[in-house]
Amino acid sequence: MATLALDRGARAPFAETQDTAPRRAPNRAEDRAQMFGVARARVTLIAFLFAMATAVLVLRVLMLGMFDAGAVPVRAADTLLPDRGEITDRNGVVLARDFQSYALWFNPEAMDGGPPLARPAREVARELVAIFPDMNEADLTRKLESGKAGYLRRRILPAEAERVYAIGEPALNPPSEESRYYPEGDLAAHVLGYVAADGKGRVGMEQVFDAALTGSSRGTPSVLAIDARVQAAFEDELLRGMGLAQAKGAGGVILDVDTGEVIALASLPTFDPNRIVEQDMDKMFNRVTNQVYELGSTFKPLTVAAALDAGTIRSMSQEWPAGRGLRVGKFTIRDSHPIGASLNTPQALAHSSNIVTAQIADDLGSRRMKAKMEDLGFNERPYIELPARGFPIWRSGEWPRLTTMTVSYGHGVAVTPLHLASAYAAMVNGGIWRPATLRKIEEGKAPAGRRVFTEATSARMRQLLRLIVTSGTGRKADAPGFRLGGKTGSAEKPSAGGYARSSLVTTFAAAFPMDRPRYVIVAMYDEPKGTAATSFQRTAAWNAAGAVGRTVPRIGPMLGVYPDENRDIDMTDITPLMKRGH
Amino acid sequence: MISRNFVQSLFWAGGVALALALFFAIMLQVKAVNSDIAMTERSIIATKKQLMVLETEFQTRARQQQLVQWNQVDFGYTAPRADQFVDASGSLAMLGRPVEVEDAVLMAQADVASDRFAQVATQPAERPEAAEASFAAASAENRVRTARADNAGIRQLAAVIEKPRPAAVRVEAKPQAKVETRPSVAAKPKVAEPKQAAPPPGTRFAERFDLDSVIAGSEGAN
Repeated sequence: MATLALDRGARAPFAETQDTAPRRAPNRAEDRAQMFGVARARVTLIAFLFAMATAVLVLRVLMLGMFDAGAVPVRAADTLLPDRGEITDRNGVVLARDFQSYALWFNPEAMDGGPPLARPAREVARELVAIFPDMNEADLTRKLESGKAGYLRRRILPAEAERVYAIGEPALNPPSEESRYYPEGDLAAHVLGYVAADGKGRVGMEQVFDAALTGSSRGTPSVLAIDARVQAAFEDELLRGMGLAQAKGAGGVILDVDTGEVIALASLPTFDPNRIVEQDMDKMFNRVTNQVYELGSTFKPLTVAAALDAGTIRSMSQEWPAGRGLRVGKFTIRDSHPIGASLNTPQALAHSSNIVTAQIADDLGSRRMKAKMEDLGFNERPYIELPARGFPIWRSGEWPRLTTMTVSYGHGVAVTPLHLASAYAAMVNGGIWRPATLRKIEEGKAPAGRRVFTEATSARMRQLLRLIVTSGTGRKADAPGFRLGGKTGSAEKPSAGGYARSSLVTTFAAAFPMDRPRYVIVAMYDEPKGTAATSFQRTAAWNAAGAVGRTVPRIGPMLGVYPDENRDIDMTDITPLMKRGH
Repeated sequence: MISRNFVQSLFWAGGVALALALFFAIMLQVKAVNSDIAMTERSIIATKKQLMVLETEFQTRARQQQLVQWNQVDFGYTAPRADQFVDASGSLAMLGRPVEVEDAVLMAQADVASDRFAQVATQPAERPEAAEASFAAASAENRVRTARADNAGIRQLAAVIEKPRPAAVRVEAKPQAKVETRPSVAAKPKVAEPKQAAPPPGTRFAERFDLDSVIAGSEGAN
């Protein structure tokens, strides 16, 4: 404003001077002085303005140089901190991580009120199909024509995103979004679970670790006890066996006998946590920790161990009659096939005699039998971090004689396969029961556990379990050199009005190497059928035992257990007992 | 006349201005380095992110189930058998070939002009053939032969195992019993023998390899 006023004031005299120059000659000097004055004022003003502007700039530079925080180094750790922490296996293999991925999102509002697409929908759809050949052109055209915003595809590769950009449609602008990614696909899906749309974990350890994964410690990965390689081999063999036996489902768990760590846990059929769909919801049911089964003959070694502990089996050569069914009240206990007139303990286990095991349990007595089963945790939910833990079918109060006898061979009590695995771990590791855990346990920090069996009983059970594999029903599991010992179990599934003879649950519970047990492995098939691949047999010896026998050679070396055919547990005192009575 | 005070204040003003200028320059320098660090940090972050993407991609492509499928289709590897493991250093040592070494050489003297060994040493190109010939003869006799260069005063120590190679992963200790030492047999005819005794092409390197020539070569160098 000042400049304008001054301009106006300055221009007027100048114009007047020109117009009146001839008439007012005597005042020329005066006018010139005035003009000089005005010019000087202008120059001064302009110089002042320039000086001010320069001063402002210099001050600004100084302030930027001195106080600006823009150049403060950013800490890489803060920037790289994910929204949700990683989950790794025991060896650091990432099983779940946050990952920037592209999505193919259709945004009809991209052109600010204009038409959603610059070109016809059909043409755009054709170009998209050229990038993603598995997409349906007609379906895509319909979606694009509808003008509704939505995902056309959840995840696309960066290279594919570039090609989508190249189509040149503003409505197809693949946004990069943070999402939960499981690089190993459906491996250990029941252990990991998934992250729902609300950002909370579901089903597995994603749910259990939710607070840790999203809290301030999320920069540190949550480490599982799982070994991804072992898990993959186990799942592969279980799935193969499931196909061969046309089973409805399969499950299995591998435990470290000394720490209770779960090295692998599989429930089949499984689901893909990267792609949660409605029809997979029923596959999220965990057969190993949530479903309870009457696990049949796999209970027999536990009964024998309890009797050895109590001293009711006085000698390994002690014999029990087994020639005909054992009548208890109105109920008769039978064997699946006649084995012999009388059997000792090794024979009864190797040939899986219900009659003899029932008598052993009868000698032991209801109270002691029940107490031992409670010590093994069969009266409560399994100990594991997973949210899905099934409650056993457990008879409370004092057990009648018949219940004691049926429980001895795995009927009348239903537990999860994980219960069984923990019990077998206690039976072979020297007698200490420890809770199963999916968290990696540092060396020397294993829980103290509780003593369930004596050392002597455990040593004897190791011999007997090995004997079942070398000379009994578990032969198909005998992986050469791995000194595996275990017990088969084939139980009929309960149905309306009794047991369904046609549908079995077959189990093989084992430990290896028997000369110094390190791992327990339990494999279970739900309703396997007799197929050509299983010689038209349905029992555990033909499916579950085979799966274990194929798994152990694959996982043994990974777990530091090497095959050695020159080494085995000493069975010289019980092997001769097998030859009698037949 | 410029007063003394004026000069003094001029001097002080100049000093302050110089200090300010230096301070400003140093400050700018520090800021520049900070900016460089920030830039480097950003590029580190970007690289780490890229690494994570690549790691994830590799892991996805090489996930366990994928490896199993590839193995089923392309490779067919199976779990190792018990006999493929060696559990002790003794078993590992048994995989090697025993070498029979005679008395230690306390003093050696080479007579270059006179013996066949020198001939071998000075004509390296012929050595493999000579070695093959020597080995073939030795293995034909199915025993270990120790050769000694007699007239030169050099005691050549060598042994060739008589056992045919491929069968033995674990070599038993027995070969030693079969070792037969012939202290003073002249080796000249062996080396001079023509090529007809050479093993057929395709024989494994281990079979053709002759320790004689190696030991002879090393002693010849002395």
